[in-house]
Amino acid sequence: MMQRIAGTPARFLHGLHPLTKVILGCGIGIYALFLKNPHALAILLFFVVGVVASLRPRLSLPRVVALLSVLLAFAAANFLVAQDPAHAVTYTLRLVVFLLAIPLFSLTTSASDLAAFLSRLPVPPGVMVSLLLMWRFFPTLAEEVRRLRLFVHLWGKSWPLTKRIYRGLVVPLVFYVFDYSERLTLALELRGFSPGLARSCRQFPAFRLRDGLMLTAVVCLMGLCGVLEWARR
Amino acid sequence: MKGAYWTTREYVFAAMTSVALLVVASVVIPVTLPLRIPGLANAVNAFFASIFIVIGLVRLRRPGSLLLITGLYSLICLVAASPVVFGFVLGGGAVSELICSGLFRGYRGTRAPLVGTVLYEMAMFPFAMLLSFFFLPERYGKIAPWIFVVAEIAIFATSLAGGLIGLKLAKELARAGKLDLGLSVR
Repeated sequence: MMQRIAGTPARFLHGLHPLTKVILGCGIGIYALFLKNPHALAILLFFVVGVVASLRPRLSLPRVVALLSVLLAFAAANFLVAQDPAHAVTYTLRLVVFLLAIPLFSLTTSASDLAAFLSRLPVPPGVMVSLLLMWRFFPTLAEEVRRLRLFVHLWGKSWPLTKRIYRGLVVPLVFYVFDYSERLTLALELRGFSPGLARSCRQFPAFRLRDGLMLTAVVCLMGLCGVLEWARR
Repeated sequence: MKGAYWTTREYVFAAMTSVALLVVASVVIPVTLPLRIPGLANAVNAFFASIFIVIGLVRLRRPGSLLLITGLYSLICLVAASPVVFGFVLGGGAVSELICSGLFRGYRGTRAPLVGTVLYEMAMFPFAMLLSFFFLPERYGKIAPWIFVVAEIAIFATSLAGGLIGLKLAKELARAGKLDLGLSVR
């Protein structure tokens, strides 16, 4: 989950209503599961890749290579099981669309936008704050895990595998969870948060013309994919 | 002002436990998913997830703790991962919470957290298969029943092992003064 970094320009997707992004992400992701035609899936993939590319994500070569390796392994496994290249292509395209469509919301929604969106819903304040904490601290904890893995890789080469996993990764991660929990509880209580009190929010996100345009464009695209999938059988 | 069932401390701890589950899943699932062995991703993930769920339940203890952790986890999966994942995580959490609340009325001691965790991991798999069958019938309709049974046995074994490690770690945390096991209350 990556939110917009302060100082970087906001893209088209950042300005969309959070609910629009949830509907788009989930809608495209689930729709891809019903498609079997590689052409229909390719059109959907082209759109999703275009949307993700418009965010100009920073991709490093090792990350791209790792991603392509996983996809190649997935395609190879599908080909070996079904002995059909079309089957392997369809399942791989479907996986990529599914993986790219769902995180559109998380890639473009900041914690403050999420808080404003949630404050319009009948969600208990405790659950709302918990969701915000998860949103905010997933990248932090993921970064801690990356550092732990790096540390184990550099220093724990002589350790047996069980010790690498248990002492090198699990134990420190559990201690991080406890440490962050204590510090965050203190920070929330110092700011007067109580799970029994409703939060107030002054700026609610509103539906705009761009939300309507985006939803219409996606519905049209889904319609085109549907024609390719079902009308040409 | 009406007092809330959960305190701020408990909400925060449940949220951080759910974040740990998400981090573990984000490392384990991409490695195991391409292998296309039914239940493999669940079995491997169950081992690591059980460690954190057991510690979370030992810390929270109240009835509904498992539902709180899995509910938060499923909600974040809904917006960040997939509605399918939301369905099976919440389904597994609700079923296991119902059974554990009936059997133990909370998660005091060491047996209830362990049973709750193993039940959750085992209950999640049938929900995952059901949803997968709904969306991809041509693939999941062909799976033989014995594969399902073997996968459930594997999930039972790995979640039990993870749960026992979680209890061992909880004792280490208690010795470090970070966690009260609450054994003296009984």
